Amino acid sequence: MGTPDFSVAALGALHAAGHEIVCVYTQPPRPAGRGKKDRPSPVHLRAEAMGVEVRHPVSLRNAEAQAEFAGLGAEIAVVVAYGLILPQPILDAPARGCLNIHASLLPRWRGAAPIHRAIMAGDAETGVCIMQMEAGLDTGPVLMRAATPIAPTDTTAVLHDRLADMGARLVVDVLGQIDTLTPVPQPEVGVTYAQKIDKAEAAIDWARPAAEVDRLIRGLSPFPGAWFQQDGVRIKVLGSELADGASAPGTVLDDRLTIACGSGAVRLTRLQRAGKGAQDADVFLRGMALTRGTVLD
Amino acid sequence: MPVRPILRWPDKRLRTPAADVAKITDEVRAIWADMVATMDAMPGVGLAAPQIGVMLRLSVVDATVMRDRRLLFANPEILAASDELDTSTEGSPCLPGVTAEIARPKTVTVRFLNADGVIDRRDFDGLEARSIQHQIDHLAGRMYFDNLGRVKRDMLLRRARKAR
Repeated sequence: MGTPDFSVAALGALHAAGHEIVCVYTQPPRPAGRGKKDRPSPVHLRAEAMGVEVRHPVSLRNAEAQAEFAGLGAEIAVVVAYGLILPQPILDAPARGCLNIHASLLPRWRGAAPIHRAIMAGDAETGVCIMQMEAGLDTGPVLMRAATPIAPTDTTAVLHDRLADMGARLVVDVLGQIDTLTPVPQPEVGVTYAQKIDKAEAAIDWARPAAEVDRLIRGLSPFPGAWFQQDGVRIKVLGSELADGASAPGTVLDDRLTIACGSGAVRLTRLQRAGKGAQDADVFLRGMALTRGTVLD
Repeated sequence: MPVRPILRWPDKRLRTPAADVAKITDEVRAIWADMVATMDAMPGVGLAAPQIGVMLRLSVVDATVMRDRRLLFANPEILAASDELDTSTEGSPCLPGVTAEIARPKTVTVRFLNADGVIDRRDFDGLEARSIQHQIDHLAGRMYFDNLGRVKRDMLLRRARKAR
């Protein structure tokens, strides 16, 4: 059970490890992309390519959908960023219950946006946990976990791919030795919640310290993308690094997109103007001059 | 958290493989706490339980200057190691007065039972990678100098006898 790209790695790894996948559940095709036509989810496409049956119910709350799920006689369900709430009858249907891959070191960053939140908070490391699902939000006991440091250049895009890969390998390990593993309840201390990203969070406030601006940019890259506005054009910043320099917040300090923050400065390394593709800083500057001394909003 | 006495080579326990722990109990946590205190008193960047005569596969590592990153391991094993090697000086409080240059993989992926009792895996590099590999040697009943060739190993043991 999964929907976005993050889940595809796990589906592929389970398939490659020789597990019999009786059915794939994913969110129904949704309007997306140019033309806003209904598009099947990444998991949907991959499952079809593997020749596995795909189901995409709108909800699992009704008895009919639950009976169909139970009718599969699945031994275990692997749930990765599925996006639907699983009611208790679904959790109870597989003989060995439901396993979930969660992209944080639980109990830190339970919830919807653990990768974004870990970068935005400046965490030194994060990871993935394989947990036994229960009714609460990411509260289940953990079977295995893996950790990875967050590099000062990591964006959500980069970390997402790394964690998807780690999770995929780990869940295969878990299934291979499921009989010998003991689920361990999560510690009660250290619980934090990864709230969904609110669009309002994405506006860059140059008056914040440079470290915070840098983490906001990297944490929201590529989606939804931290942004500022210049000459009425919205510009998304998709990459940044800390730099030397100081001035009034928002001041462009040089010809290389070094911008003064509340304290310190950041250099913008990858940007995207509204309606255009993403560009590295040098290419961006050829199309839109942000000269030294300009003060950004 | 008492500091425990450290065994001296060739104590037989330093040449005996230690046993896996079944789960993380209060007893295991107490041993870890003693090991951290002992490591801090040495001072060193890591300690394995057999070095204090506890024949369990437990180890602690803290390779930071500030001594603020305590890593606690139970049943550690190396899942993957880099081809690239790194050579650096190692020594042991179990055999004072001597050190040797030891080549080891630069980065390792280690699987272990963590302090919460969860099977964890993590990549290490630098001094942390070196220390955990050194500790895993201890847990297998090996000393760092068992990684040397016979001649160098004998020389080191002779020098250690003289130093005493």
